Amino acid sequence: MSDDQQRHLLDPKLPYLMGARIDKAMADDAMRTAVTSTTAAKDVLRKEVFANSFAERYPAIKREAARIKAHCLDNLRHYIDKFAGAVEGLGGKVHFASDSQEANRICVAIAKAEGARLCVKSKSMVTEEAFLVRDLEDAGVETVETDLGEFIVQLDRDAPSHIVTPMIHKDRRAAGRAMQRELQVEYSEDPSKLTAIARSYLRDKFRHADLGISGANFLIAESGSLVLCTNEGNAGLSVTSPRVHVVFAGIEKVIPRLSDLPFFLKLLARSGTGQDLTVYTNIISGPRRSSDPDGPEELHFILLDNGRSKVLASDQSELLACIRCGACLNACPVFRAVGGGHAYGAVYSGPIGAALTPLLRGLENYPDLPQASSLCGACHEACPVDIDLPKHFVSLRRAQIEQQIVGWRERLAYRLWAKSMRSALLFRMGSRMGRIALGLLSSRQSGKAGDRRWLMRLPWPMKAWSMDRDLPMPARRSFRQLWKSECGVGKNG
Amino acid sequence: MVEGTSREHFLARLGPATSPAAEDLSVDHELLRLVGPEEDLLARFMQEAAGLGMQPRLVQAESLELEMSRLLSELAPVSACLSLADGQLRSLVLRAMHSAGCEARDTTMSRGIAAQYDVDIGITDVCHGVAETGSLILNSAAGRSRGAHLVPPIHLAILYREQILPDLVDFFTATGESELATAQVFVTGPSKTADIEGVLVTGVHGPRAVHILVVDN
Repeated sequence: MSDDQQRHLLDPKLPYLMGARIDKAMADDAMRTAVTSTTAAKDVLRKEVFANSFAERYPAIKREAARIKAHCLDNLRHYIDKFAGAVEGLGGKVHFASDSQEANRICVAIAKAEGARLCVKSKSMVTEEAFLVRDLEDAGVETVETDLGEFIVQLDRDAPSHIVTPMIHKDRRAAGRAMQRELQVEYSEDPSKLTAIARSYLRDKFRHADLGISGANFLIAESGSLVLCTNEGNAGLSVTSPRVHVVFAGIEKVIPRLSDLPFFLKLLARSGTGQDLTVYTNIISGPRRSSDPDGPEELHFILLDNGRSKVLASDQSELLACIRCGACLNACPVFRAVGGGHAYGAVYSGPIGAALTPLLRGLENYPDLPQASSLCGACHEACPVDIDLPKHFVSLRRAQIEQQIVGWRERLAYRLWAKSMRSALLFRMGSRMGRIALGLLSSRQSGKAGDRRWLMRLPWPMKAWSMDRDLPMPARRSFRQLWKSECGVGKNG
Repeated sequence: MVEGTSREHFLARLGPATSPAAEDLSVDHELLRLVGPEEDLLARFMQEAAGLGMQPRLVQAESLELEMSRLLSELAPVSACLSLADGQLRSLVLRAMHSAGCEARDTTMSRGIAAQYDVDIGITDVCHGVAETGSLILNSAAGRSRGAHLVPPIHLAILYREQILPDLVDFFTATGESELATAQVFVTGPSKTADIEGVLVTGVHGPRAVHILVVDN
């Protein structure tokens, strides 16, 4: 894959329509199977782990965590200010970036001022959002992803397809081929061999890097601390060996106190991977002090807005409470059907991405995303901070109608629908006529469930709409007819 | 140096300034508790740590040196880096290493962290154990290294029984904590990944093995 194609996956030409990529994903059975089996297993594990640990207390814990997050967002200005003050008190520096270009410029300037040549980077969604690696490489700083999944994705010039497990769309053969091609090693399909290859290659990078970049799982306002949660240990190494540590973080990562942290630690790993805790939880408070034998001498935080303050001011600010555990991706039937994250055309995928991306990057630029949900509610159920995602999809759909992003024909259809739902007579007439018309258009399909007729292709103006959808023919008799004949209820029933 | 957006300008977009009364937020930590102080903390810690793939071993205080020397002979490291704040414990560990034929490398300020990449084992003390999760809590303060538990391929930790806290919550709600260390880390198992097809592999970037000598006084 070329660098342009790689960028295109998460930053496509706008407006972005999901259709083409979904068609491709639907045709790729191996990828859909991989995504489905991994996400389904994680989803089952998550439920088991919460049932075994918190059991009936879980809903109350969710609400408490949501309350802490809501409190932070309501007072975000105060807590960001406090966090910045605390970091400076520890000898660190805080930079404020309105957008991702500005954030990258600051980061490149820090790298240049240090004369950095080699950068090790731990996994961070916000650096993906900013396309930081490309800008650093353009500035002559070799930048290596050190999370195993991200490393393989980087070798393939591919893009991550899941918030937590970035190479969910690739199998061991793809990983083996990427390493064989890029690292000139013998081809292997053995995950432990591949991991060992990556380990030895990356240890050399850790050892010689002069710049370490991390994201942030949480920022603690009271103490100016950074919290990182990883399993591999790559974040720890990325921010221990190099002389300079730069943290990229969205403003929504701040929480008030260290004592609030256990709420999120106890929720994050259980929701994301079914662990009680990630293997490593690092709490870093300031650059190396004179009494410390090792650690970076400089610590920079780059706090990124990039559309978040707009979301904060909207009535959808709840979406900023997300702790990026990935549980909603694992629970979502749409995420599985479309073969993972690339179909969403943006860095944040799955239900949270489908709700957040249109707000961060413009509803008119991502008109399909609010529809990328069946409103089944699995995402809301999975969310450890109780974000009511279906409510946000409905809000976005309403906004699309109001802003006339939806075409006039669809708006007309909704208007007629609304009218017929308000009048018993129109409803009865409409449903009877609809049934007759659909009966003429339907056909019997072999291989489809049950002995019923299906609507496969509709004529203009519904042709495009029906291309991606197969609908079962409505039952021969309506509910009202059944009710009347089977239950013998009076004519007014 | 490139200047970003000014702090004032950046903050102004986040809404009007609020008073410190904004910090009025009380939370119920007991909701989160999974292990109480009445439980057998030692047994729970040993069970959880072993369940995570760490190798805890209970030793009596008077036989710590002997047990450590035995363990080091089994593991047969050629060199080690140490992160031990207590002088007495440090001498004990050095004696154990000597009798096991293991050399201590100076990995402090003079040679920096790079030297830790060449040793076979990192030997550290810890601040706390957590019975709930089987975690070790390490602190960089008081001359302790930030890399010793992470860089070498094997980590050997020394934990005293009385350092075991019941629940994660107890660590965060403890009052009277002195100055926050630059780097704290909770170690909950050996380094692992499941990035390739969900297959669990241990020893990715951090150590493949974590041995814990749990000292009972």
